[in-house]
Amino acid sequence: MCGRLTMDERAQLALLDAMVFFAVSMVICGTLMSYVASNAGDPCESVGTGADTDESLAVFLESSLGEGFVLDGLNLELTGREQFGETLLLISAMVLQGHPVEVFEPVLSHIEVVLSRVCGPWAALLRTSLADGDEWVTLMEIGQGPTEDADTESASQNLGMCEGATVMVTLVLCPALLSQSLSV
Amino acid sequence: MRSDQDAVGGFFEDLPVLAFVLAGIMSVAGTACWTNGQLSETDDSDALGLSAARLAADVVMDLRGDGMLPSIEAVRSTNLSLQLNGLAEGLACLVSVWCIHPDLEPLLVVGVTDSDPEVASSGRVLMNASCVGGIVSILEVRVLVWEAHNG
Repeated sequence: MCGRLTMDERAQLALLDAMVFFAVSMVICGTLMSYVASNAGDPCESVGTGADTDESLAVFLESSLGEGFVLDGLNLELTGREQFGETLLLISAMVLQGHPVEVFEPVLSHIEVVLSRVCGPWAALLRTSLADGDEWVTLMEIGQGPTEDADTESASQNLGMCEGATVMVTLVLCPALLSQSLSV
Repeated sequence: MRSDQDAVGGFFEDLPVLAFVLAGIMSVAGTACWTNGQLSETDDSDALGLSAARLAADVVMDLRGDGMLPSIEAVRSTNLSLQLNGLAEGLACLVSVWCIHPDLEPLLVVGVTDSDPEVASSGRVLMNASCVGGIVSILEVRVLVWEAHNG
């Protein structure tokens, strides 16, 4: 090892001072880099603002089905001009009357496809809930649910009244890679 | 190692000290330059993002017109030159309007481009429009804004 390790009159070692200086400079570098990293933001924050989610839900609910359906077992015919909001309210009412959700599978699959176009590239979950006192009871869910620790954005809209209770639809968006179906 | 009674080391004995000091200075200087570049890039990106969002909002406002639901044909024939001319100097943009439901088709593509994008920012706004047969469709307005490099 080379270098001056002899103490001077003030009992300081030049090499030790240099090492302390280097350590301090490393701390400064680390602080600067962490500041830049914090400014860059979390990728999960790019899910979208609340306004985007609100807007996506509003536009989706106001648009038409665009495709006709005939559900023979229920004696129900949808022409394709019905709005998604009206259709979800109608299905909610029929589910409350005792019809199983599976009966509406063709319509729900169509809703999921349109929803994926509207909300892409994020994974979307559309939950229809019924007010039961102070609690909300989930009637049906369409799409992929997020994992528990995923950052999500959500927006809700009142669909109307159904058998005296309020029906609410909630759109939950999360990064596609954090949805349950794709999680490890 | 020879003891230095005068506390004055030779050139080679001071090299480790010099190396640590230089490494420290260069690390701080290099990180400061990198940080400055990153923050500058972030500011540029934020400004571009703001321009993209504003342009997308302006385009949607123009397509909606008087507040009624616009028809697909009206959207196809919309002239967006006013919005594109209002873009800040030094910026290039590409605006496209797509019908994403019930059919997937491009309706309108306009842009002010004189260079390829390097650092760009995008905006996206959804809106409804009426189709033939009383169907309400979903339109997506996509905006890409980037800094134009002349020459």
